[in-house]
Order: sequence, then structure tokens, then C-alpha cells
Amino acid sequence: MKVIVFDTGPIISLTINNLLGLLTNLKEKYRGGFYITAAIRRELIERPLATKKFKFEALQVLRCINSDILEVFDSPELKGKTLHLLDLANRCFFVKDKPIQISHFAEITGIAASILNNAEAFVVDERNTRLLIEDPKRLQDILSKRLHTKISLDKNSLREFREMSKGVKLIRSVELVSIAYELGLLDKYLVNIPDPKRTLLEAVLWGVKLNGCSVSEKEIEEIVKMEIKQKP
Amino acid sequence: MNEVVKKDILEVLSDVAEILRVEEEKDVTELRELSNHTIHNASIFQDEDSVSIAILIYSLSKVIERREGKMNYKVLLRLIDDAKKSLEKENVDEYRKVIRKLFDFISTIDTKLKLYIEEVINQAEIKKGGKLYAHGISLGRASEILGISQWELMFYIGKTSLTDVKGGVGVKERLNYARGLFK
Repeated sequence: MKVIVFDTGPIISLTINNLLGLLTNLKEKYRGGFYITAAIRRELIERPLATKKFKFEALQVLRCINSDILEVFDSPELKGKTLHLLDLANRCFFVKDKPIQISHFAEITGIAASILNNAEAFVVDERNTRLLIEDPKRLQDILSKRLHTKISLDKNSLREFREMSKGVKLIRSVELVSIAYELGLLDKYLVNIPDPKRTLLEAVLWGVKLNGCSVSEKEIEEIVKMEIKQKP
Repeated sequence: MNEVVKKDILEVLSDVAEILRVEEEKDVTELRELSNHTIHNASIFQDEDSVSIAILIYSLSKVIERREGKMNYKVLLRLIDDAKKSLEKENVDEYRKVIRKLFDFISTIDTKLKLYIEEVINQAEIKKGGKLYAHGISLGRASEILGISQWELMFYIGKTSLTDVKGGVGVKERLNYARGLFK
């Protein structure tokens, strides 16, 4: 079966923007599975339910899981693969002789689940996971600039991490809402104002950005330009 | 405790004592700036002491701001001095006890402010989580270190420039790929 794996971030961005319902329509269109892992579920549900904030949002996501829109993937190999990838990720960058633990178990389970399912995409809004897979040099630059020190790279760990994750294609919640816009899933929000399509598109793109999706203002402008050209 | 961490915390405690020696309007700003001093260490060593001192000082700045001159600096200075002395004597357990006392002190300054102070400490945790993220630590790991949920941290980060990230696959290529999935 075709599969798309979701990290914690995109589900949070969609929920806070009241766009979680889009997953139902997108899944119908996709005709495949939308997976999360148990560790990602814990971040989405159990942690907020144990605090005062984001409880209601957690219930909305739980409802989405209970109705099988999001399925919790597990397999005997998942933990082992995750721990191996996590160890590699957290041994890529060093300050002097000390490795910097940059990644978290839940984020890496998403990558491991994507590998094990040969997923068509891993939806991730978080900067580090994306840069680690696509542009580790940039991540090294961020660490070096912010920590005001030389960051050395363990080329072997990075090579093995990238080798294992090379088939993982990343998309973000901005791409998901753009596709939802293209498919007309947001048309009910086209209201009687000047330039309603552009306004709607900008509204949802900025909505996910302002709730943590790592996308630059320039990228949003580019997406708007491309989408308006395609669907004037 | 790591020597680098210890040295920096001692420096920070001396600076806090210096700031609080005379009550001035600029105390709040100076404390807030100082609260980021241990974040470099928190990013590298990811230890509870670098994190807790950052949260404590940030919370302190907010409480002083809110109390508008009605803060008892004497008690604070005594506790800060105790913390410093314990650390100088390598008594880390005692140092941590004093830091907890400092948190208790600012939490019980005014029962009317109880909810506000809980919120201040929570906001301090989120702010410092944002700082760790800015330093290249992932969102999940930063939340874990600060003991906050990813919901809170994402909500905060979205309102900063931290989401303006360059690098990786271009937007056109990524959008085209996503489009292909839902054909």
C-alpha cells in the first residue's frame, strides 16, 4: 500500500489552523495510508492531555486517529532502526570532542517508519530533520554560527545516516495546504472580497508558517505566484 | 557538573548579584539579557543546571517587572549567595536545593500572583526552548530538554523568525513532488 508518514509538526500546524479536516479529503484523493508512529502519537496526544494547554486540540487529533484517518504504525524493526538512526544523527556534529544531541526519538521514528514502509513522503515541518536529510552543511553552519564555535562533522555517521535515509522524500504542511487549495478543498472559504483566491491561499500558507512550519516568506511568495498562475 | 557549565553558572550568579545590589529600572532588561548566557552550554551539554538557571533568571526578570519596586532583594541576594557558595565548594546537591528554594521564593511572593507566576515560568521554559531551537537543536529535543510540549514550542516558534529557513530542496521541486502524490 502507498504510504505517507507524518511527523508531529504538520499535524500541530493543521490542527491549530482548524485545517485538520483536510486530511480526510487528502487521504481519499491519495488512496493510501497516512501513518504516524506511537512516539509521534505520544507527543500529539498524551503530552498535551497531561497539561492545561492544547488539550482540546489533542482531542481533535485523537478523533482523527480513532477514525483511522491517521494510523499508528508499528513493527518489530521500528525501535531498532530508530535507535540506530538516532545514534547516527546525534553523532554527526561535534563541539571539540562532544557530540551534540540535535535530534529526538519521536522525530527519528518518523524517518524510520518512512524507510520501513518505503513511504512516498515524510511530512515534516521541523527545520532540523529536513536539513539533516537534505542539507546537513547548512545545519552545521547554523550550529557553528549560533554556538560561536567550530563544529566538526563526523563524516562516517553523516554518510551512513544519509545512505539510510536517501529514499525519504520530504514535504511540509505548506505543500499539503497548497495541494488542498489546488484540489478545491478550501473553496468554501472563497468569499466575496477582492482577489479571494490569493487571499485564501496567503491566509492558509501564513497560518501554517505562523504555527511553526519552517518556510520562508520568500517561499510563500513563490508558492502563491505558482498557484495563482496555475489556478487564476 | 561539567567544569565549563560550573564556571559559567558562577559567572552568571555573580552578575545577578551585581545587578540586584542596587535596585534600578534597568535590572529587568539586564536580567533578561543575562538569562541567555547559559543557553550555549544548554545546547551543547543539555544539562539541567544550564537550563534551570536560564529559566530562573528570566522568570525573576518578569516577576521584578510585575512587582514594580515591591520586591525583596535581600532574600534573593542571600539565596544567590548561598547558591554561589555551594557551587564554589563543589556541593552540587546543595546548589540545586538552593535553586529550588529560589524558584519556591518567586512562586510564593504573592498568592494573588500564583497563576501569573506559573505562567511566567512556563513562558520562560518556552522562550528558552525557542533559544535552543535557534541554536540548532531540533524542536522535539528542545521540548524534551525543557519538559514542555511540542504544541507550545511550535506555537511560539511560528511567531518568531526561526521558521525562515534557507537550504534544502527548492520550493518548486517540493511542490511538484507533492502535486504528483495527489494526482
